[in-house]
Amino acid sequence: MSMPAIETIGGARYPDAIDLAKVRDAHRPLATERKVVEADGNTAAAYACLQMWRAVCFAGFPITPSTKWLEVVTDTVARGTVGCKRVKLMEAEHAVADYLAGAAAACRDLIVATATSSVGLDHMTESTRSLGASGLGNILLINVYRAAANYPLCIEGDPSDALAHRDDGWIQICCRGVQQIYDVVLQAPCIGMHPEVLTPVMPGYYGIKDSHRGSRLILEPDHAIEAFHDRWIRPSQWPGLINGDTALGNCVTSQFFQGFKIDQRSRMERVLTLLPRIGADFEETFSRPGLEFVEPLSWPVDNTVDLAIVAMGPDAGTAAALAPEIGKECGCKIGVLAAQLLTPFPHAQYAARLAHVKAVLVVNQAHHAGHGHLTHEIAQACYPLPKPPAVVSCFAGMGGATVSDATWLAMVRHAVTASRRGERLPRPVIAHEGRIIWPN
Amino acid sequence: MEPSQRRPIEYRNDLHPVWCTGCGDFAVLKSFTRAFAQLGLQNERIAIISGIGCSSRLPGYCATYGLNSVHGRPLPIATGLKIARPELTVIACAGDGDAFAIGTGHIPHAIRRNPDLTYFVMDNAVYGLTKGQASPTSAREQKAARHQLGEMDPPINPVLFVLANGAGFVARTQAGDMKHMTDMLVRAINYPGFAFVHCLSVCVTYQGRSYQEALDGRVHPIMAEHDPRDEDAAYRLARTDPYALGVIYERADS
Ligand SMILES: Cc1ncc(C[n+]2csc(CCOP(=O)(O)OP(=O)(O)O)c2C)c(N)n1
Ligand code: SF4
Ligand SMILES: [Mg+2]
Repeated sequence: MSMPAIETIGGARYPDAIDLAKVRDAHRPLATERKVVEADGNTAAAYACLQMWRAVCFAGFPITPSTKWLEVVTDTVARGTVGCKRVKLMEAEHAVADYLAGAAAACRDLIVATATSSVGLDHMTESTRSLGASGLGNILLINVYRAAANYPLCIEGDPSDALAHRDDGWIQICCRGVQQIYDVVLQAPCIGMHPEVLTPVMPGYYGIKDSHRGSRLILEPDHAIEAFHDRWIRPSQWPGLINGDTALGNCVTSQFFQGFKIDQRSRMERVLTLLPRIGADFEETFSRPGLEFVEPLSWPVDNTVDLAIVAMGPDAGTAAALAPEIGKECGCKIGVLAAQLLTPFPHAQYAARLAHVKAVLVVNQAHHAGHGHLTHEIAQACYPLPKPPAVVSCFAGMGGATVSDATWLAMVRHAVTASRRGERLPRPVIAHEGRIIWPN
Repeated sequence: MEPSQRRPIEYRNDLHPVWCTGCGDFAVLKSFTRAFAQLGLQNERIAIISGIGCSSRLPGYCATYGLNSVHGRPLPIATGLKIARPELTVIACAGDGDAFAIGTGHIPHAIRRNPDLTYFVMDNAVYGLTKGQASPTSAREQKAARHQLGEMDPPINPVLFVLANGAGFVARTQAGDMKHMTDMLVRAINYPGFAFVHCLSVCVTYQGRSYQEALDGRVHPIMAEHDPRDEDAAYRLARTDPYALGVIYERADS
């Protein structure tokens, strides 16, 4: 006999509609103990998804460079080694997004996942923009960065897709390297499904540069992941959307619209207090860094930095490796920060880091109509500082281009010169292959 | 009519196609240029609009106007083009994925509007460009044998689909027979309305080299007594024989 419906302010909830104990029992582990494997970024993201017992529903549509995620999930599920999970190949990305919405709405306690890229993400837009505010935090959309359809197409890693979707209302986290991709995907549902957040998560990583680069990966045992998740993910107290009085595509008057947006914003703000707690628990459990707002890749403990570089993804690692040498050559002490939480943007954390630097070189790898997505955020972070640094904006690595050692040197030289001129927010430049190529 | 003095090579540009050796798209490209030559079309009076996929690279190799456009969208683009420049010979071309997965929604509406253009679909029953996933036209047996996703989903019948939506000209051909492809293309271009050509094609990389041979063994000309003006007969043929080559339907009032 089924249990009676529980009335909530969001509508009736049917607690036994899906027998979660059965779902948990049906899960078969990918790893029973910690092991080291060789994997590329897509495989690492797929493994993380497959290891979560709550993730039973996957859907996808192939697009380079995220296709391998779908292939790994499909092959593993087909082998039957991870229990009874389901993968659907849909006819297009918008159908993927809607399929996930349906599955996620049906049971808020289960995680539904996909991976896509570039025009694939663009193709989902109508749904992602609704889902961002929907309260369906159990949707995981892995975004493998590739230049978006901003003409021309380019299949290499450029975060213009993710950055063009910053207002969709999702939590966006940028990962760097295979291990971090795996770790972030594992932590993502803890934050998205938290009852005070209930916001879907879009972890992302650079196409080709990280999606296709093989590296050593530590796989955690499924039971440890289960225990970690159980500390953060509790049975939902909310009905699925289909039972509630909100729905995708519902229409309200402008009077009610404000309330939805305030609620959405408050939930996003909650991310800023929760994320470090989840990250700290992850670190304590698995002895690797957990979620952070920003990664200080090369940053002295005493904060004595003249020029801070703020960048994203694997190229930030190159900058960190080059920092001492380039710093010597340019006569300044360089610190490097890799952006991790993109949305909501942790302005206060950047302000604290950048309070005493003379200049910030912000490296944007995606086309932007103004000074750059990252630059805008960093400028906002620095604005309230008593002595704000110059914020020097460079575009480099667009279309997934390599940011070579010589390009880093050219950008640092440019930043030093521009800041010495006393400009607070100089006109942005484009750097490529060791030169400032625009304006010329 | 005077035989055309044009040669197929005059419709090719200098670019070397990046298709795999043995890909069915080479033969399609050749038959496009042969059909243009046969019709004596002026290069600047031809526009080929494709979507995205290996097959959709085709316009890039033609010395005509062309657009390698957005995945699934050649039909609305071609329709817009034809309305703006009715004097052009407009061909929309695409793969089975482009046409019958992401682009399916546009087909009924293009047919309803009935622009005078040809829609040529290269159906290799696979997503070639994204490395061999099953497409909506992949047979269940193929998906089972190759462990492709979507084994439980039955395939779409492209010819039945366009017929049911009211297309006035429907033909089937195959990439292993250039003469037949050229003939079908010429007839489709000459048809004054929306003309659909379903081209059974081969992806050597993800279907294997024996696929063409297997296809050759299955295809056959439509039986002589079939009357392409008989709509019921066209439906019967579309339902029962996925390998019959030729003009399946041509509306009598055209
Ligand atoms: C919106 C969007 N999603 C996904 C893709 C990736 N993609 C490129 S081609 C293709 C399928 C191609 O299959 P088909 O049309 O059959 O052409 P073929 O390569 O087999 O000739 C896909 C899914 C894309 N380009 N755009
Ligand atoms: S992958 Fe297949 S469809 Fe694409 S060019 Fe190669 S043979 Fe042709
Ligand atoms: Mg195909």
